[in-house]
Amino acid sequence: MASYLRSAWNAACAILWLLGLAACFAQPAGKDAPARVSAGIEFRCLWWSEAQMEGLNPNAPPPKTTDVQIKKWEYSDPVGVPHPDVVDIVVNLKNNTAQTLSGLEVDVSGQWMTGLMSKRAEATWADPIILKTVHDVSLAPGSTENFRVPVDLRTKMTTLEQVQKWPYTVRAIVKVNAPGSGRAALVIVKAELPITPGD
Amino acid sequence: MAITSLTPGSTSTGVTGSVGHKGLNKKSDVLTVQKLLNQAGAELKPDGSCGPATINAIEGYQRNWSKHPDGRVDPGGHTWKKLVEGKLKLKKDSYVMLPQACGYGYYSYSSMDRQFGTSATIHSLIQVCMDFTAKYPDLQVGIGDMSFADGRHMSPHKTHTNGRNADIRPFRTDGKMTHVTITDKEYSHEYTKAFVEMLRKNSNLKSILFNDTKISGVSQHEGHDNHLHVSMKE
Repeated sequence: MASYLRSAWNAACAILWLLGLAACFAQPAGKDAPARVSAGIEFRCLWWSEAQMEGLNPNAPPPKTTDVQIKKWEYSDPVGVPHPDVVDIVVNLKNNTAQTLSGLEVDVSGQWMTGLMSKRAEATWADPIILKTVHDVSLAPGSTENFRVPVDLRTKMTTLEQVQKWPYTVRAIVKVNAPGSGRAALVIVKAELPITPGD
Repeated sequence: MAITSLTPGSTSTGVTGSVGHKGLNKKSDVLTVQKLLNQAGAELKPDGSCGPATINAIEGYQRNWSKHPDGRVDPGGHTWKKLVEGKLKLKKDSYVMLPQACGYGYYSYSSMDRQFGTSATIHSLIQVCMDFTAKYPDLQVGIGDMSFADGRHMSPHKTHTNGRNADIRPFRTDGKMTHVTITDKEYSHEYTKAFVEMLRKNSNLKSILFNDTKISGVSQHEGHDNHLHVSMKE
């Protein structure tokens, strides 16, 4: 009898713990209430500083050491407008609760819109590809965490240019999953980087 | 062991390492490749040193079969086999380089291999720049991408293959040799307008794409807030 009661007690505790965990990660019911965890995306790269750009010798350029955010990749000025070979998807996570969130899983995917250089309007989206999965992410109450996932734009361009195509946009998709077997998505955010060739 | 004396068509043991762009560039191997390139029509000083001239020559040779030469000879690779076979000749440059020296009233903001054009285009640009800086001695004209020497595709441009295009920066009020966009407070409408007027007086000018709508003689086009895309007739 005692052992039966102990088992029942343990089972009840387990159910309560799971309910508590679910409540902790669940999205708030209110439309305007903040999510338990939020995610942001930036595209960043290394480029020359403004001081380096002035009078820069293009035949012997200095190393690019300044971390800059880019909202578009554009080849309109070889020096003055960033058009990096590799762009980083920078993911920023934030715990909006007063409790530690642990066991999170973060999927970072990339999706390309490509098409013929001569027919921009006919470009189409490919399926997303998971670029990186970060397991077991823990966030202390109110804390933030960020990580970078590089995307090799140059290789993509070179490959496509051989068949007269161009990658017009790359879309980053970040999905933060709750812990547990269900891996329910807590947050999904997307950001796009337009890619414009020169004339 | 690298061969030191070669006759086209002869059997060779090959180079021991890669030569050219990002190659190992062992002196004896570079010397071997330079000699073979000279037999194909290059005019290299066979010194065993792999500089821009040697890499350009390798690229020129590879243009016999490739639109995207990598400028490198790998042991036993296709370029090596063709060099030893000795049947192909170097593809000579067809455009001339914008002089990189100072004193013509301009500065380059693109690498020299991307600043080739027809003789007429080069002559016209120099003339306009010299005229402009004669009037505005504190200013220099920023010239960017033009064409490659052989007119091959210039990534990531759609044009710039015919030796008749040049990207030129708008002018700044402070005269600094750096970029500027028409929405920046440093952008000088007046200087840029004056430069466009001089360009338009040149009989070789075909068209200018630029987005300052208050300047006559330019056509608006997406992405042209920070440079003038100048096209010449010949």
